[in-house]
Amino acid sequence: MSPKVTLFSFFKSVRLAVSLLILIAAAAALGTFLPPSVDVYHSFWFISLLGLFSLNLIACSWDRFPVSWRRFRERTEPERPGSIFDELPTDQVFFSSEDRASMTGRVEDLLRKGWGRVQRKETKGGTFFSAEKGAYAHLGVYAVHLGVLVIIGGAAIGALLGFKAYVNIAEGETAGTVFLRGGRQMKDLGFEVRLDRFTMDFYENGMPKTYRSDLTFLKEGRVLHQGPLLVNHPIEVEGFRFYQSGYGSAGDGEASLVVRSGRKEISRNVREGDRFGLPEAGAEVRVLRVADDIMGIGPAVKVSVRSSAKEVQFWVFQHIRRMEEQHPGITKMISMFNPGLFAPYRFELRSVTTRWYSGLQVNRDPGTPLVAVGAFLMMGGFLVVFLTAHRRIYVRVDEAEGRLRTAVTGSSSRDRRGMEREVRRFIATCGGKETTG
Amino acid sequence: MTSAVLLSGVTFVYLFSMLFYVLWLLRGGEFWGKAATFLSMAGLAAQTLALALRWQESYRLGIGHAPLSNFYESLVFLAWAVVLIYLVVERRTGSRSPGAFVMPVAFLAMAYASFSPDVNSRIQPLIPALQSNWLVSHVVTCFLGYACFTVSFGLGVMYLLEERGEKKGGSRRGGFAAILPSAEILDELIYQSVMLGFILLGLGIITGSVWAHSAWGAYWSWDPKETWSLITWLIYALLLHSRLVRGSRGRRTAVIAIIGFASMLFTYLGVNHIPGLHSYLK
Repeated sequence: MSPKVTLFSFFKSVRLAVSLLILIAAAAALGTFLPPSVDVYHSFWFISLLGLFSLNLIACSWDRFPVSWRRFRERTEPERPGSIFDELPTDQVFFSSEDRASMTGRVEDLLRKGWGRVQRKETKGGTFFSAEKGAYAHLGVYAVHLGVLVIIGGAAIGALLGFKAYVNIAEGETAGTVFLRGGRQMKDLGFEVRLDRFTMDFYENGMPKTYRSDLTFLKEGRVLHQGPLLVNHPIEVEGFRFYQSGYGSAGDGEASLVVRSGRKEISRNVREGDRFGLPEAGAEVRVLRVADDIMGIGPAVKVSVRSSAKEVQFWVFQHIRRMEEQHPGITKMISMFNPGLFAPYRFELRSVTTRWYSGLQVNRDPGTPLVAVGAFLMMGGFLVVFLTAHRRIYVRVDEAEGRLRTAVTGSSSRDRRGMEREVRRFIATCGGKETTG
Repeated sequence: MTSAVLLSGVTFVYLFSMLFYVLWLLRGGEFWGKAATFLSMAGLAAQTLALALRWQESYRLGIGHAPLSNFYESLVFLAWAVVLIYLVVERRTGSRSPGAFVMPVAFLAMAYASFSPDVNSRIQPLIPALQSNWLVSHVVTCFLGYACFTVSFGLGVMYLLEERGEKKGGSRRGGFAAILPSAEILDELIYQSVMLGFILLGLGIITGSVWAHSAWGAYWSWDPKETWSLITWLIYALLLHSRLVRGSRGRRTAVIAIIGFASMLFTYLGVNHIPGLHSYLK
């Protein structure tokens, strides 16, 4: 035996297929228990297993297909050698007194209606019919195998030619490049994405209801597409698919601050790093931080106030009144939380207007349509394998004991009981019911 | 809240149905058998009504969605599907004995849903990731598949008991074996329920992939639940393959049906303790 043939017989073995399936399942299971940094599913050996499995599937199919194809094409010979009609149960044979032409005519008619590929043969032994349906049942398994191969092929194309990337865009800003997953590599989109607005909506119980990014896609100043991006509703532009995948504060919110002293009041809209003066005290206020939410208490601003005499730093919370109700004396205990630390001035925070960024996932996967086709083929194949059968029916009409005798039998590639029911139904419609036996 | 009360009532109906099936199996007597079947059918009808009520309630709360969106609702739907598939099998085969092996699973699922302090039975609104038309088809196909596997598990256990009985009793079948259907019939039933479950879980994985393609940005992410559903599916694929290609029957089929059920349970319950994308069930 040549080594080539031996290799083929190795790959075509069902035992190999079973072992590989068990190995793949075991490896996949192992991967769910290991930390995500050990990426089993993209490792060389896991992909090798899938490759081996594909070769195995091709070899198995190559080996068996000719036989199945012959079974699919082959016409059954109506006159059966050794006669399958001789030892039939009595309910599959019936006698009648009508003439032979009308019986054979009816049999042929019924076969043509309910079955395909009807063949008729007149011999000395009688009139023989054969008919069959569902010959394609032999091919279902190849649709399954081909479907699996197409899915693996589609996944390979996606892995080789596709990519997955991320980008965070702050409101009002534009991005033209995205970060590829895993590495620090960038990818140029060839067009730009602008985030016009990011909005969130919540249910009454606080659970998130909507995350929405209003996006504008621009190419050389021309608008390619404009519209909202929502979870479950990706946008496709020039072959790239955009997904709403995250959000956050851009960290440069604008705070509306009020500083009171007696009846005087100074209002300022400030950002991090801004400065403004308190002229009567000869002091300067520096905004150190503007936070949308600090420790779950709500918006807050950290300021530093410096005069010639001293410098103090403290937080100004928007919800200071609620804090004092819940923890009486908190501003006395923690001077950093006291908005009146720079007496006689008292700071108030009206609001913080957050600027959001939206996290977008950007993909391209040219293998996806192939995977979809493969899945269709595979499921279609399964339906053929499980639910259809190649059924053949044989009828002989002859004379015995001076009466017309009709015998019916059949065979099936699967589901013998279903076939028996079908034979019985045929006998009943043929008129065998009244004259059975 | 009417639906939750009705559903905890259904739990007791299934409990008694289960006990009657066991009584019937052990002591015989047409009465227990008929009572068991009647109770399981009445329970299924009441549960169907409760599910419809819960659906309606969710619309009254202004968050209308099918009752298939959290762990509580999935347990209830699993029990519903198990009883439904079981009753189809009972009707088609005219045999009640699988009831004693399948109804306990339906009862346990309902009891866990109704009485465990870790399971929240409130109707909750859908977070953005779950707001999809694929939710219903994905959950329904997966859980009908799970129900078929549950039935085949019960049948697998019966097969092993039957086989033991046949060995012991020789020509005269003794013990359990005397009242269970023949090994041949059990084998065929396991095959049919596994085949149906396999197709349904296959559709469940595919609808899930289509959904993931628009929600997570990839049709497949090797998320632990995805991975384990594939493993479960592969185990049943092996069962069907060895039967269709190598003509294997009997014990081997029954044993794989039991292993497949363990893998299904892990897919459904165990995986929730591994962090991943399918974390809605907490």
